[in-house]
Amino acid sequence: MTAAVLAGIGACLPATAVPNEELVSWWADRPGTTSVDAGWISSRTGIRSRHVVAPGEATSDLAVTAGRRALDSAGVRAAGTVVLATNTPDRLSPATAPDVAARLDLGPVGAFDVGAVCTGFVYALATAAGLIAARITDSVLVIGADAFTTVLDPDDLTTRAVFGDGAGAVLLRAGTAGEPGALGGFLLGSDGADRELIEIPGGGSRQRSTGLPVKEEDTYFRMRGRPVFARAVTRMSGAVRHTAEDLGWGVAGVDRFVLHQANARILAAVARGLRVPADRFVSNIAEVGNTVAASVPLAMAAGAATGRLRPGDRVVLAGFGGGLTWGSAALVWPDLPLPSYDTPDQGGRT
Amino acid sequence: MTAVEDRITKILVEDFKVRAEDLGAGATLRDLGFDSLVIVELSLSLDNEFGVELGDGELTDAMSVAEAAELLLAKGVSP
Repeated sequence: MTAAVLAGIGACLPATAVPNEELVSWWADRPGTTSVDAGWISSRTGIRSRHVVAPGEATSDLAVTAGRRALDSAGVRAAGTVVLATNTPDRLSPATAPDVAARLDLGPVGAFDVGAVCTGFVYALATAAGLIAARITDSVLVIGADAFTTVLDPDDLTTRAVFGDGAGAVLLRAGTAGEPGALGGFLLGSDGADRELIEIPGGGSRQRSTGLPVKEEDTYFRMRGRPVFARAVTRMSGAVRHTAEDLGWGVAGVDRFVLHQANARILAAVARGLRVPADRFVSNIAEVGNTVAASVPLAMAAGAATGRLRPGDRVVLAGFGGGLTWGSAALVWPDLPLPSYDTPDQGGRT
Repeated sequence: MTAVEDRITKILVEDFKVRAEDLGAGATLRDLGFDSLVIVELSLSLDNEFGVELGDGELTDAMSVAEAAELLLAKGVSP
């Protein structure tokens, strides 16, 4: 059976990093706020720094760089289709993927966006695997990219502490099920009854059809942290277990878990619940924060760059995000050139 | 101490690094320094250990180990 096989990987972080110390110093300078120390942010989230876009820099700019690096990593200049997972497109309409495809000189290929917030990249992988299995295309550039700091309330320390910007990309080619890099074990899920736990309520048809001006606070991202935390742990644990069992590995037979980097304590709780050592979880959240759709591919790239993902490793990927949505997939890590990506704590991007 | 309380205590000591001596005489989770996020983490650990589903806000920081055990028993956990 035709399978989608991981053939290249790339990543991109915006140049500006904002460490916790800078964030809390900005916060302390505001009138009427209580002071917060930098350690409070890292103990609650595991995040020490995050990258943010420069004025005028957009999601597509990050996506193009990550996409080019994934093509370079695969040693190719073409892709049959571009699927971009993002929740912060350059414009409300049209989709951002065609622009990315054009700037990568890929020609008149199919290109579209997928929206599943922090699960977007896993949904995009499943979509791409389906396109390849159905022989609609022979290769897909799958990109997860978000400039999520552009939708944060500038006066909200809690979301500014958590989120960062970035992009990660993989090139998938048609191959054979069972070969290294072949994706399998997909699970996709959703629960729209909890749509208001993670949302940007303004700007869509629900608000615009009222004919009333949008309230400023409704244009910003908001999230109800505690219920989201509990559901993230429960859903990602279930998804991981399903995928590992579907492939006959069992959770204990998985070498590395690459989960959505929402909060280090969510990853710890998943590890505890699955009864697997926490060191099997690849994590780059300390350096990049929660990068939404870019989170899983950036963690894959960081894992490969630092040798935490090695050829032959049984790897399970999982995401969880707004919608609510969740999803998982797995692969045996293939022998790839190291991603064109310096981990941020080793001196920034290449 | 009941069997359910014993199992909760084991989780608190092993996974949440609570000192056993701090658990005496009806100490609440708040007394142990648990904030709202830790309550969510403990709630998930109890779900996992006892095979129940504690909803948002069912376990609170005002509860002691004995009260958490009562909550679990009310959810059908065998004593």
